[in-house]
Amino acid sequence: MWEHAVARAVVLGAGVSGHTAALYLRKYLGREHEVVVVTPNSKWNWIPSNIWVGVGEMTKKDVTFPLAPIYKRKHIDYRQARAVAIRPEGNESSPKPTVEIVYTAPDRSGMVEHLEYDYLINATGPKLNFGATPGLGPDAGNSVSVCTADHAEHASAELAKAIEKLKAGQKQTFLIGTGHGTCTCQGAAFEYTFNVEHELRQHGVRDRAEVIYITNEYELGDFGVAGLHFEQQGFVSSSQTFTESLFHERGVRAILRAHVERVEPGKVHYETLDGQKSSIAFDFAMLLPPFTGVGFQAFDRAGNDITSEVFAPNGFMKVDADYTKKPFEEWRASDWPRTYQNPTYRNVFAAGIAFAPPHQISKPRSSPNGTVITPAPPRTGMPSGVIGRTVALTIRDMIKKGATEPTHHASLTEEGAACIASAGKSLTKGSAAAMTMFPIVPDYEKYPKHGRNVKDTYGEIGLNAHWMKHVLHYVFIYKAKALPGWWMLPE
Amino acid sequence: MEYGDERIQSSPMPTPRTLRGRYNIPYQLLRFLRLNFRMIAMVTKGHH
Repeated sequence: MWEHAVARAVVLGAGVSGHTAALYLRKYLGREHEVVVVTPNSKWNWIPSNIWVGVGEMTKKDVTFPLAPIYKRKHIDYRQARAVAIRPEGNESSPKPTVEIVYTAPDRSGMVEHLEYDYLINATGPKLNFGATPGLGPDAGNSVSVCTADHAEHASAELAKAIEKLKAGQKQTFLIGTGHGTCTCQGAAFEYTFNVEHELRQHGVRDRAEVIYITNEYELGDFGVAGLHFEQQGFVSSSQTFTESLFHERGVRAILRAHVERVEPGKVHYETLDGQKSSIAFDFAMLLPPFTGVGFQAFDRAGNDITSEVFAPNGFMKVDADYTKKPFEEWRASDWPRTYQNPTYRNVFAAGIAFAPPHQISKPRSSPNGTVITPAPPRTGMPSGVIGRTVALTIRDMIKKGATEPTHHASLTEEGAACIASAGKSLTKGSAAAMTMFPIVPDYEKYPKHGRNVKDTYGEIGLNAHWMKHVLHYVFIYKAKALPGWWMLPE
Repeated sequence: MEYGDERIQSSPMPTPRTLRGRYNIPYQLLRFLRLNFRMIAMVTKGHH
């Protein structure tokens, strides 16, 4: 019989994926084993509802809660710190793997610790790379963001100022979208666009406002997943038609295939896929940044830098994907990871946004100037949670049953996702577009025509989707608070 | 006019009946149940 030793599992990051992994590890591992969470943040944030914070329908308090009481109740060792380096082979004095962390908690700020681990889950999510576009983001001061609850509160305040100007009779241009040619999360930009448009109608100032969506997508409805096809009233329809119709109905303009080059006060300069360079003036701009990995380093036992072996060039961690460079036509569903185990260090996993995707989902394109204008693959909350749980179950089996290989898998080619873009908060006056897709990454071998199951892929506008958005908000916050029966709620 | 705007202007608009249906509570309750079943089925398929 397998005699398991006392083990320490360290989870880096407490977003959807890391927090889910930590809760499941704690649920399944006895108290003799340690579960440690390292995250620079003191609060958990239900990021999809930041959109509502960004238009003033919710506050930061509605979408966040402190992590410390949850982890204390669940007997999870919580370190408010950020990881800066891993030493998966240990160092010259000890073969025990460690992660170097720097505390961000006010009482220990700047303190460095080398934390030993038996299993490591990297769920550090993305770095919001505003620096990739000069002038982009709230720190530069020219555009706002809804990526964090703080950003969203700032966006809401700026939006309120613009609405006051409209009420005073001034015309205003609202520019919302992606702030770089390689951005992801088009769904969030799309949702924020229609929330702003809804707010303008609610305030009776829509007629003086121009709302423009700027995106790196090749066509509307791409969403970084190469668009969707679904059955509707006896036809197979596309997310392009679905999305264009919504833009038409709400009078929203669109600039497609755009790489934002720089943002100046009141003006965005951008290049389109045909190589043309243009600019557009705005009064209010919410532009998302591109993502990279958080940028921590890796060293071998002798202290040599092995970051490029453990991480992809974009800073995300390599896992069991096929990273061979190949043309779009040769991309396969089987390129995508299933276990999220690092190929070199078998006790290291990357979950959620932190794993390196093998390639984009949308067809890669560049302008004649060589500028890449292609959405990066989105990894939304649902798959991030599923991956966190999957990795936790594998580690449980390694610790408790002595499994030598991953025992659970969750491929984006076998998982679905839902995108619900909801506008307004009233249960009877709000509206929403719901889209589901199965699978997330198209599998043209299994579904030759459209890459996805058109019966499980779906799009609809109506109050029902709006109610679903409310349900998801409360259910996921309940689950993340680890309240009774949390584990029965799906990711 | 940008490329996106040309496509948008020629895309289909919802009929008044469709717009009313989006806010019709009994109809939307049925659609809500359907959406719940869809999402549960999708989640179940994706869990291994």
